[in-house]
Amino acid sequence: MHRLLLRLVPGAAVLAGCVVLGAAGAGRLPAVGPLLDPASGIWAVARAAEPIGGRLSLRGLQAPVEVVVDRRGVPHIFAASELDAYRALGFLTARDRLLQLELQTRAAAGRLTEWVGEVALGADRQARRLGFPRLVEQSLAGMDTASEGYRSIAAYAEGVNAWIDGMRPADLPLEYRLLGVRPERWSPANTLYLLGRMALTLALNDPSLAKAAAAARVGWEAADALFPVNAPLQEPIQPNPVDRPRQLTGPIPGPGPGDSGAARAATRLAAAHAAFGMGRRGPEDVAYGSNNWAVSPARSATGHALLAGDPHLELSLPSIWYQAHLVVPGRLDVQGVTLPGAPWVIIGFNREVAWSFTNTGADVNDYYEESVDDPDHPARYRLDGEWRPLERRVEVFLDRAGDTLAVDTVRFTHRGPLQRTDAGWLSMAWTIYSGRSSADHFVRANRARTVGEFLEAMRDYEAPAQNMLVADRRGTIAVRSTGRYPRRAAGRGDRVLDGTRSAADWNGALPLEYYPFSLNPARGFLSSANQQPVDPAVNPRYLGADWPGPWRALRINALLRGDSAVSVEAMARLQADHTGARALAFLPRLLAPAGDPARATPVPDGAAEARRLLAGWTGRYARDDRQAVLFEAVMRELGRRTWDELIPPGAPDSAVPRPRPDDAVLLALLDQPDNPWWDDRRTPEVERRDDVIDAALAAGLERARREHGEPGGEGWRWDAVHRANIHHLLRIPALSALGLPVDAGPSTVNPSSGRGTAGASWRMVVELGPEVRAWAIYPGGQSGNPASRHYRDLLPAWLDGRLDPLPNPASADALDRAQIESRLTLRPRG
Amino acid sequence: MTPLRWMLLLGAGFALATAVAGWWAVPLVGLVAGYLLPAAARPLLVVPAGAGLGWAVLLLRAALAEGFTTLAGQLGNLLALSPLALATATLLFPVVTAGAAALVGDALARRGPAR
Repeated sequence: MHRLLLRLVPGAAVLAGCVVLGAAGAGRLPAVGPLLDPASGIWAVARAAEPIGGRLSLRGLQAPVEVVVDRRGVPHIFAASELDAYRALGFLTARDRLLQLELQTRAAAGRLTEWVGEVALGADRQARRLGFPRLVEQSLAGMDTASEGYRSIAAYAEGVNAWIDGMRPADLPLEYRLLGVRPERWSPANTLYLLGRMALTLALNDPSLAKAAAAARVGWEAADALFPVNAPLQEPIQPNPVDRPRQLTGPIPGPGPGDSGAARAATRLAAAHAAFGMGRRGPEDVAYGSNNWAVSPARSATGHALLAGDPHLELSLPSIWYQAHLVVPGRLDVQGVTLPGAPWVIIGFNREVAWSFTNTGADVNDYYEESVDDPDHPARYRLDGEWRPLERRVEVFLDRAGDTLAVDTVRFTHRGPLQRTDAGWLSMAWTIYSGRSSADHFVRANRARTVGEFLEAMRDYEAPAQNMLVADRRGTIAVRSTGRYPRRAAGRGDRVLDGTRSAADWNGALPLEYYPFSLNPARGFLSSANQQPVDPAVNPRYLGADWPGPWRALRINALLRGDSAVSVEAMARLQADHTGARALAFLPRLLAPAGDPARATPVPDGAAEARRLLAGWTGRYARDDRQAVLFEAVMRELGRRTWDELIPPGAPDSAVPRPRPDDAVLLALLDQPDNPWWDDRRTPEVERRDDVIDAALAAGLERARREHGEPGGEGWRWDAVHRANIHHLLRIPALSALGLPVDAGPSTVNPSSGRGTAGASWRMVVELGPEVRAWAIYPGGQSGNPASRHYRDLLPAWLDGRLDPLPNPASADALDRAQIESRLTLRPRG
Repeated sequence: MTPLRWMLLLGAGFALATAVAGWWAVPLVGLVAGYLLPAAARPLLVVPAGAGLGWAVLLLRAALAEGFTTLAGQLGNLLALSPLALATATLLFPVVTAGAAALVGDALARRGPAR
């Protein structure tokens, strides 16, 4: 017995340790059994990355579907009905992007805590405070289940679930194994969550906070001039009758006394932004713009209309986009990029029409200061002298084990969600709260045969507002800034409004005839790059007041104006263009010799050297460039010295951010050499423009030297200073592509700024000739499986600005064998 | 049957059982084999060796996939281990687990230390 125990006890102890380690892990170590299992654990991920092919049966299919996967991993889906095409797309997207599908849905639904616990509670609370679950429930309830839009997302859901239900253990994506979670079945509601999240990503127009913060320091008159409703340099999307940029800025009032009312307004707005998570989220948002342009046949080298589009968004691995081609004979033949989670081509082309979007950046949300019956636990709010009940919703947050982590009560007025902030109870109205889905619009737009049909399909589209550029094979080109633009009693929406009066509510929306629009303009091309869509002299109706600098638009239009025979190659080159219009505008002003006899200070050491170093710079942000770094340092110093009155003394960590006027305002100020803004209040002298330019040059050189070494050295190379960083969706460094040298800079057509995490998420050029031809690229690859050859195979071409020709077969047998990676037949399951 | 043949047979058994039932097959097969194997088969040696062999075969099969090398590098980075160390851990885990299970099985069979 003693001998038995001597053998049994240590064996059992080691076995128990192994079983515990295998089944549950230890500390931060996940359960190692399923992880290391070479048949279905992490090692099997490589087998799951093999191209999909052969024959599979799929529940819900009505007829067989042929899928040809090309060498880029793009599925060409040939189905007998559109619903079967959507089912197949859902199936294939789930196979390639399951983590992405579920992760973004959970983020929008505020359910990340169920995966990662308390660490995600803040993000989840914000999603629920925005009312996404309520919005999706209402949208779904309001959808006609017989509509094409609903049926498309339901069919897509069936496809996703067919993949999930049929997954082998080896198919479980790596990230699920690392997180120790299992995929949840997909529902049509998830597509609506995705669309809501996209609307949030693109709700960037935030005119009020910066202006109020500036007014708090220098008064409203100056603040209105520094943060104007209308872009100071007009190069609108809807071309002006006289086709050239127009300077709008007059004399800029100098800094006046701060307005304490504005200070309170800024505090309220900052509180609202913090509570709802709206508005700009940091310097990276600058690159959340996009470009598109189209050239009419008269201006193209081949005599056919051309269209280019490159949406700029956060870059990720896998990409935000999933490329696909859906063919249903006689009904649909559309190719382009889908959002994983939605069954339609968002940006792409069919056999007749091509289209691309840029974000309009319209002002689509307002805040209201509400009066409530109980400051701690309100049940009613006051409107026009009467108390109205608040709608209340209990939101429960679960942890990984399914236990309750937190419980919140989210309240809603008739406008939208209500939040308690440091500045009292605020509610928010937002156009997406109308609950109208864009599903039907995209179904119809994908089938459009003319520009007119496309615009008609999109006429009631609401959010996020987009500059929709479209061209067809007949040679028509058009652009329309389409979305729901609220009509406000106050005209503008850049203040916190009085919630006790229904008169402050939105009064419907702008009718379609007032949307910025252009069709076949005489100049022969159209473009948009997030600039103010229409010159206020042409159409003064308020759309927003937070327009990014027009630099990309200026550059695109300058090159298109100068080319009377635009080729496909020229379109592709322009997408990768990295010469900054901002640099070209400022350089002559910086390099001009200081000749102001009334200057207040002597020319500082270093200014002449900085001028010499910048002389001859072409404004190109190329990887091997050694002057861009100095220009950017000088610009930083110039802004800092010019706008010093906007910096609150001794309050660097204020909740209200430091307002910084757009560089287009700074450019206008350069024409006003004795404007009081040039004076540096920290010195006894009264500086003028030339004093500040020289000081900025000298200080910029000193800063560049300090941070990057001697001029012209390796440290001054642009790619030593700035690189693109494409993070994995879970920000796992080993699965990310970091430190990528790029030919791109701030405000260039091919943009990259800040931490380099945003940029061109898809580049596409389409020629609408007798046969539609297209070229495209995106950073990453089709597969979300890190072991797949298609995880990041498109990255090198994207970095070099090259486009791949896109195969566009009309039938399953039409694709050249050399271009085929695999074939798959999906059959209905009994 | 010689211990070598027992090991080969167990290797096939561990591989098959893992492919069908997952990693739990390792302690279960180890326990049963430790209990049933005759002393001449040297169960405390051949059972862990068979488990390592079985998983090595499965690992080899996984390594035939195109993306294996990429994956191994990524996993190494992810877990702060060299790919070789990770592969070694993958083989050690069944060896230790099956060895311990065999020890328990063998003890439960009430066989003496002379075996």
